[in-house]
Amino acid sequence: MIRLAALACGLVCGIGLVLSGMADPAQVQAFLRPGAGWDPTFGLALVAAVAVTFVGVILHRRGQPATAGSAASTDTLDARLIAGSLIFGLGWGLSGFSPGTSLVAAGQFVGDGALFAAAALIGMLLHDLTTTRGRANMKNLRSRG
Amino acid sequence: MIFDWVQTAQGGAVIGGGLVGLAAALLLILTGRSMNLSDMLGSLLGGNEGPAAANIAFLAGLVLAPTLWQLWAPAPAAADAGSLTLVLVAGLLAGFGARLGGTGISGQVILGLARPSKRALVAVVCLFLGGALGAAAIGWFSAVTVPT
Repeated sequence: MIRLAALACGLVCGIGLVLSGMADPAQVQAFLRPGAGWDPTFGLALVAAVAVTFVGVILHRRGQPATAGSAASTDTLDARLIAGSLIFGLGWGLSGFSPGTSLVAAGQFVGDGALFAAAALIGMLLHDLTTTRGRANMKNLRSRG
Repeated sequence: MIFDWVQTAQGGAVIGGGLVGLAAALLLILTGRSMNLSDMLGSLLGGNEGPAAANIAFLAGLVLAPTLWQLWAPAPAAADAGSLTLVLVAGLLAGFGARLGGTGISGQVILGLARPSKRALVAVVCLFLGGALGAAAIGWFSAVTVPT
């Protein structure tokens, strides 16, 4: 049941990404690149997405017992978040793809999308192989079987 | 008419963006999961994100969505644009950064801002800073290397 719900949500998300133009690298880059020819369309789509998600978050919270401490645990800042987001952003701006939109593009039979998704997986693997934290995580997984 | 408006770039952006938000909201309410697409892709490598089957189902939905669309209406044209090397390097950077920071566009910008958390705000600023730098570098890159 959860898998079916996830599949349906993936379909809705994918159709939304295509319809909004968020899966179009050119539109993403036209938003990210400042100066002449700046195109706010991608930002408009983001605002709409955040607004609807916000309603969902409120509805979800209403059905949940209040959990003390959960807010604090997700509200810590660290260098990894900052460095990771800057590096991620660089790849995002260079290509106009993010891992999610690259999969939609791959579904449109765009070779760049499939290549980006594969490269992102390799990048994740590189992280796990080269950082102590990543190595510890892999070891942990292996011992769990 | 609303159908004419949806066919403009702005109308499509609002309705399409709304659908992305709807997917995030439904996934949260129905399964209790956060729609962090980069994490979902990463879970294919094995990770701490619970049973991977639901993630695989969601990712399959993303890939199949354009085909489903084609059944009803012609989908917008999409084509290769970037150089292969560039796409490869960009993918490596995005994957590495996503794993390093537990970050991503859907997870931090959409869900993060909807929640909202201080952590997500910082991530969003860094994502857009990196994105602006990358997109600006493309103009420079194509000016010096591709004289086609």
